[in-house]
Amino acid sequence: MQVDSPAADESGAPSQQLAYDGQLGELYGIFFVNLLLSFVTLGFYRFWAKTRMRRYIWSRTSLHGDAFEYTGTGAELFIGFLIVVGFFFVATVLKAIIDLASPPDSPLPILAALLFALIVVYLVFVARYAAQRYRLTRTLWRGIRGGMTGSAWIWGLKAMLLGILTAITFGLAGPWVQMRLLDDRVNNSYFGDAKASMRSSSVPLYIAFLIGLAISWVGTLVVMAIAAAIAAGTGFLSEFIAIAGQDANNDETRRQMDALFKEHVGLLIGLGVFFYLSLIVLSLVAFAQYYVAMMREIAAKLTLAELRFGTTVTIWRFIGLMLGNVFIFIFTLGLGLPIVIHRSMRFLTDTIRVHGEIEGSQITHADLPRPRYGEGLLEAFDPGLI
Amino acid sequence: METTATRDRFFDGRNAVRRAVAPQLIGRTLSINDPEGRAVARWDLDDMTVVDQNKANGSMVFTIASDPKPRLVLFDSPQRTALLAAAPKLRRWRSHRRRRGFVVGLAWFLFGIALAALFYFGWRDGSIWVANAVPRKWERNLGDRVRAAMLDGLYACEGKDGKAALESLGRKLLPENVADLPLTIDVVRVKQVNAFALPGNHIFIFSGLIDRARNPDEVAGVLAHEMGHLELRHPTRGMIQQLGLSAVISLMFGGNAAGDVAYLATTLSYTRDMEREADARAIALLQRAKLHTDGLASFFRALKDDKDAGSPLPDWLSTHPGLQERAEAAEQAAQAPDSAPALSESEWRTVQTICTAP
Repeated sequence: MQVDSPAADESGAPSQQLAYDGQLGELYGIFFVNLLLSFVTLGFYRFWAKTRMRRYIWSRTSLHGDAFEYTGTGAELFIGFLIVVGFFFVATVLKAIIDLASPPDSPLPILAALLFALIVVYLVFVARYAAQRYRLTRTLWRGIRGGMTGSAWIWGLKAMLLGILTAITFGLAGPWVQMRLLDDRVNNSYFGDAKASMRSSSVPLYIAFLIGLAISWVGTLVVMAIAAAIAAGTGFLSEFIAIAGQDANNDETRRQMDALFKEHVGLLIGLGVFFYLSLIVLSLVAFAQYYVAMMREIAAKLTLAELRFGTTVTIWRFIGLMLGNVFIFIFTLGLGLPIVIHRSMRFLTDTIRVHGEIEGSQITHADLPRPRYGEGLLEAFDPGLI
Repeated sequence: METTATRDRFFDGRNAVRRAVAPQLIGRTLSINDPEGRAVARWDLDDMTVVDQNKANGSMVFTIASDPKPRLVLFDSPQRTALLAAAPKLRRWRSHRRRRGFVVGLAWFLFGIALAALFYFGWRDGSIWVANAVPRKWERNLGDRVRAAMLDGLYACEGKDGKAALESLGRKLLPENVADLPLTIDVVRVKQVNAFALPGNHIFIFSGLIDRARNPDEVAGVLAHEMGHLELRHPTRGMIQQLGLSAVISLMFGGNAAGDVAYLATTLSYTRDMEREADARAIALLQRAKLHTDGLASFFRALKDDKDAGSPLPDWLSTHPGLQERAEAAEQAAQAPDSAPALSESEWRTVQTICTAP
């Protein structure tokens, strides 16, 4: 195992830069204890569960022969979560008071509800940035921790405005927006006092993006055609068209329609499942080459101290990973989560190439702000799996 | 042993340099030496703690509790064995951490129990206190809105004389502490036997209740019961309790489970205690208005007979068992000899035909 022999990296040969030596059995050991304790504590243990899982995964991932260390605690996550719950409680009470205090026909309650929804969307963005800061400050390598500068509040605002831009361009601004926001997050990230830097371009992504759109549109049409063909084959479609052709406001028409749906309920559910599963697979396949292009762009443009990066990811490997993960997770009813984690970590460490050596003496501990509580916001809106 | 010794490494927490080191035990101190034999750091054994252990390659990571920034990674070696023998608490770090985890977990658990107990026992008094603090104007705003929405979707009975009779009965019964707002009584055409009060002095009676009542005193009893709810500000209290409950649910499962206030007002249900209190107030209000007090009890009995005969109870009663008990409690009140029927014969007829008369 390369981890054990620093002599190999010192020889200057391309060392095994990023490695993961976690074991599925150990992951399952942690997973089942976590599951049991989460269950008996009505879910409150999930913060400690997440922490234990991360601690293990970090400790088994190493760069240049030295393992990472996760220093976060469950209590930090829990307190972060309590703060968010407190915020929601106050917001709910405020909304109730506005509801109660406003006279009939006042637009105030609706405005308050809209504002509330808007704030929640904004906070989800803020949470992403804050969560990255939390994880970086809780990650240790060679005794030096990561850090992040910049304001989550401002980034959240920018993300929301760019999100509106994406919406009004029907998604076409998507790749550009995604890379701008990613650049911001990367360029504020640190390892010790070494700043990560990235000036990515979205130009190489656009061809992949447009191909993805084309595949997903054509694919959706094909899926719909197949569904229609199945419906036609069972005679459902012709009956449906015959009834739909009659007067729509007629009670008799409505009753016939109801009877038709009741008769074919199994078929309809089957078609629905087929339709949604195909769309999941389709969007994965269609946009896999987009995500691969994105990973290549990131690998090409990212630098950290003397480190440069590369990736050996291919479209088919990526599709294999994602489809495998989705199906393992669904068909084991979530019990396959450790397998999903294991596969993903192996994939990451196998495909990421790190070029160059860290000149350790050049990188010193930096007192970048270390948030006291973690991820409360993200936990509330987007309870990730690890 | 040379090779294992060079695998041991030290990070000082100031910069990202990996130093190959060899640990050397000197009394109660661990001297961490570089390959030339110079000490890079000296750690007090009692200050040392274990960060983690890698089962795959056997390495252990140490730090010091007083300043947990540096890291020392030791693989299995005679030196490490000696260290663990000299400081058994380092060898037992896993059970140590487990015990600590258990204690912390227990503390959180007790905290949770205490919080739950606080909620459980503070629920009633807390909601009464908050309900009494809600300004009446807010109640009216909400009540007006909900009433308008209900009348929008229901057929309201507009028999003029019947309405006038009910309103005059209502005025006699209206408790003083809520007399600051005008009272409305709406009869809507719904077959169910039901009546309810909304915040802001609005009472709805379903026509099914009037059809089922055998005399005006039974209607007056139910009306007085709803007034009792209003007097005790139960609609507001119930809403506050449900809002609080949704906050607790969101605490447990994450996310925001709070409902729309106006919607809450339409889905209220009261506890048995609240119903009992409203029954008691109803008798008092009837007595104050010098009306027959036996209507409420006889109505409960009639409904109980319906139930025994197999017909389903209306929702508002089936969720609150103890019809028998409530009827008995209502019968306890002695009817004053000078009390009068709630409505005259002719008035009662106008109420009975309220949904058909112009």
